[in-house]
Amino acid sequence: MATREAGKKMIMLKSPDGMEFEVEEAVAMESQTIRKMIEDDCADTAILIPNINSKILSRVIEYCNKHVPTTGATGAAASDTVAPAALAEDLKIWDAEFIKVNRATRFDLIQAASYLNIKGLLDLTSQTTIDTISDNSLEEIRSFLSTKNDYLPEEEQTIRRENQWAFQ
Amino acid sequence: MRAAKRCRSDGTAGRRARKRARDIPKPTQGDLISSLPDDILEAIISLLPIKDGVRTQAVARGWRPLWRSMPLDLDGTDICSNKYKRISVVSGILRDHLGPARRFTFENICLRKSRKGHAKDDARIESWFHSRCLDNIEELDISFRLLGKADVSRNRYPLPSSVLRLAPTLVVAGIGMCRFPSEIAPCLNFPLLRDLTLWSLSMSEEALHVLLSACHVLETLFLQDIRDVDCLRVSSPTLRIIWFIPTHLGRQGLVIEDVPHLERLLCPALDGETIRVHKAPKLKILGPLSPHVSKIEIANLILQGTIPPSLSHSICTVNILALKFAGPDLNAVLNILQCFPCLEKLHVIMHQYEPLNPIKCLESHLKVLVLNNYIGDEEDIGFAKFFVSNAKVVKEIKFGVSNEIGNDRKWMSNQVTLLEVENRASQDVQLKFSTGYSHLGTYVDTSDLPIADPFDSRFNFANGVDWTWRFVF
Repeated sequence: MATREAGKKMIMLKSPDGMEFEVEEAVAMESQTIRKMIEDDCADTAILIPNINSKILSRVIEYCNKHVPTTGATGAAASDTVAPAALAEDLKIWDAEFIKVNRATRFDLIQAASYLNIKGLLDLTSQTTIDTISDNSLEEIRSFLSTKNDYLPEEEQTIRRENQWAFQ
Repeated sequence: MRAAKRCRSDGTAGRRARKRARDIPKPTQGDLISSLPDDILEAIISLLPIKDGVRTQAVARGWRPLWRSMPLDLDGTDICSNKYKRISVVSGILRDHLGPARRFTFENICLRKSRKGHAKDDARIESWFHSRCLDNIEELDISFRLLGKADVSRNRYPLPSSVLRLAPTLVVAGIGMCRFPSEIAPCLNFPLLRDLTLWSLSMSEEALHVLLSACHVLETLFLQDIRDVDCLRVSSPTLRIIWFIPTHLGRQGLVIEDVPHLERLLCPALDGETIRVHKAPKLKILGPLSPHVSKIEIANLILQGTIPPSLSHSICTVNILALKFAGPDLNAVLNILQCFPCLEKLHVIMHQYEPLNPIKCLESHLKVLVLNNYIGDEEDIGFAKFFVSNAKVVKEIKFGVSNEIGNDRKWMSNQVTLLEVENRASQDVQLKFSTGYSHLGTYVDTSDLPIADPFDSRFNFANGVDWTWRFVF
């Protein structure tokens, strides 16, 4: 990747399973949590990211790498040459591909986005869950979320009857 | 306009800091969603469309309380396809949900027509505004369908005065298509209301006055089609923007009495109304004014018709002005510009005939139009073209032209092209050119008076060269 140019400050991110990721400061600062650490001078050598394993952290970094040029301070060069609308469209397609992951990974990504406070990633991962709940039947929602139906049949019937309009 | 007001600022409104829901029991342990942080789960559920939110109650026991305690943004407008069932669905939600509701929108509320059904719906609507769920509501936007076919006051739903119970917390309010309650307590208080829209309302002048006096931080007021009030009077120490669209029933005036912070007075559809501005020392943006059809008085400045306003009065605060004229009228524009010495931006709208406000004879009666002493210059063509493209049942447009051009076939076919007959409003119109000169108006021959149309005799359509164009495309 052509981002590692001379003069750009790099930051080391460490996952609890011992992996280290060297990323540009601007990329790391897509995370408001990390930005705060850097701004508060708590990030001299390496930042340990607790609770996020290397597999998820590498995906998060991949997301931030892709999104930094349009939102970060280094984005000027990219948006000079490409029309902003086309760039946004390109990102949308990329996002749609990025989020094609299994359910467990998606929930891990939601948690990571939440902890690291990356708004774009949180919106993207949450929206996919919202879409799943919106588009599917109760049985499909339960299966998607691995939730067991602990209602008695008559209890569920009562809820359905009381809110009949929502189940039509 | 209404739709624009409804739109959400962005898709993330549900993710505002909400700590209250943290003590809600989480869904069954072990499922994926229970591993999510509380605020994420809350955000996901509160962002669901209302129908899906309601359905989540049936997923599992642990899910039951979740949706019910999320902040509610209730829009009943299209909540279900049967428009008569929407009232009971909304009642059910307001009964079951624990609140708080942040916003309640319901456009075009439709009561059942049967006497029994109507009474039931009426009681339900009344109970909405008493429901605990709507305590602390910030935004309200409701309007009602007419109770009968004719758009008259008795067919408008009488809004229960219980709606005023919501006054203490409302920030944005829109009420339309109903009769506004006339019994308003004088101690009414809207301490937070910033944005008020009243449209297509029957209401008394007194009620409007009490309502406006009860608003202490109001910044934007939108008034459209307020019935039963001849003159709308507005006084407010805080208002910055007034939108005014008069009712099309009768002539309605607007009087801005004392609005010291008024910056924008927008009146897009003036048609013969009078606007008086007594005190608005900060007015910056004004218009569009149509001085030819309306009378506008600002302090001592009077703008009306072609009368040049007095030069001794001017308004230095206005820097953006829009004017609406029937055609390019430089003199009239210059007259008005003299009154606004600090103007930085001027919009001139060449106002065309609006079918929305139709002239009846052009729609259904005018069959013959005679244009005497027509010379076919740009102004004449513009004038005649208006009738070609707007007179819907006209059969004949007669052009009385001079002898020199009356025989020039080429000139006439050129005129026909310039009149853009392909855009004609009446398919079977004929254009007739005839020579002669009308002295109509200079003298009257009493022998003409008994004939069917005495104005016709002055003209020469019977004798002169008579070219007729018929159009079949």
